[in-house]
Amino acid sequence: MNSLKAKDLINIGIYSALYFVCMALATFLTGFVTGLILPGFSSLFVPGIVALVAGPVYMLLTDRVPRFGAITIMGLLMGLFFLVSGHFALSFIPYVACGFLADVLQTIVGKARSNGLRYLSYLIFAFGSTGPVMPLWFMKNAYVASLTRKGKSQAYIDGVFAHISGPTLIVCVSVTIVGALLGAWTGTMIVNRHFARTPAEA
Amino acid sequence: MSRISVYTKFFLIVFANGLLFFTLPDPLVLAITLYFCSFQFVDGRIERGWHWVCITAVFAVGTYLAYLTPDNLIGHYVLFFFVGLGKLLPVVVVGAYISGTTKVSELICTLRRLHVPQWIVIPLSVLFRFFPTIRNDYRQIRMAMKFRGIATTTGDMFRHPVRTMEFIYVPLLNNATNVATDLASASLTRGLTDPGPKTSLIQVRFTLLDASMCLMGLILMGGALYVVM
Repeated sequence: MNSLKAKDLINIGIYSALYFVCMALATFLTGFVTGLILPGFSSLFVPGIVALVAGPVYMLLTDRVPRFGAITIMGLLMGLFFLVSGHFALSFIPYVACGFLADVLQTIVGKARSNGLRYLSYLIFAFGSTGPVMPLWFMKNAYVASLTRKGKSQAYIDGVFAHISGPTLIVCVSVTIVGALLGAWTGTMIVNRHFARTPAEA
Repeated sequence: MSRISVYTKFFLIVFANGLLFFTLPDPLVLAITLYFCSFQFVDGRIERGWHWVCITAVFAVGTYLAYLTPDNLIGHYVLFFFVGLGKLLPVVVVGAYISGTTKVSELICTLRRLHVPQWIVIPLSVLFRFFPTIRNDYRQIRMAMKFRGIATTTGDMFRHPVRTMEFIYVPLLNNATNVATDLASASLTRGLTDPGPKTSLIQVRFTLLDASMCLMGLILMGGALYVVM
């Protein structure tokens, strides 16, 4: 982290703010559409939509701050936001872990050059926003407890959730992957087209 | 400025999230949620306080009534709505309180005091400082787009999502890059990277009020633990 200069840190802050706006927008949109149908389940689609929208921001960040730490810090800041804003606090962990992993892939393994690894690192970073999905698990537990109290048998409860747990996870993961790949593609396109790096910019 | 220090707010976050892991009797959960609501009153936000007390009451009554709902799809939906979202209610109450009353400078000051490293504090303060700029930029970009007859209505924006994305993103990101350069020179001049201790206009202290509120929380926590055991 010590190789980051003040200017890099400021850049990271700015791109994190933009990423954050993308996230808020995506959450709002998906929440608006799916929240009315199934409360809470909108968070299943949020990671994918965030990844779809935030591609250019991520690609530009990796372009402008090609040093280890940038993506980790961005993940950390997003996690911090979850921590203080009334989301489930452990949502913090996936963002930090995914940010770190993506960072390692991007800057240490890929040396910030390889396009394929850049896609892959973005894909991993996209999974950071799956944190808010976790409360569903708690909601499910509360719901199960309430069903038990209502006098339902265990078999009945298992029946209710048999159709939900597996497929929803697959849907969440595949939506995220598709969103991330599309986001990475559009992001790279926009960055290459409009932000071709001018040499000797320190 | 908030009368409750950021330290107490950290305590609230831990408390509210710990609560998720346990299933407690309804009256106790209600008491704890009301305790969280009471912080709004302590901070002088009376109207907001009542607002959250009302929501808590709706969920308490709703959960009670939801048990009486019939065994069909709608009944399950209602039950899931109240029980599932009600489970998350304490966390949301705490989140609303914290994001509504904490000033950025207070948070930064506290983080500095806790010796959080510079590479977190600097991006964080830039992040908050940058939000108004984004809003302003966005407005100007939209105006410029309308001026040229591009996506003049919100409907148009959704009809050509890729084009909209490009037209909004590129100026926004471009400006971000420029602002980064300006901000870097400005903050370096003001000694952002100075490793020495920073002074602050804002004082963050753990006061008697904090102590008494925390004590109340600890008592409720103790009660919850007793029930769980």
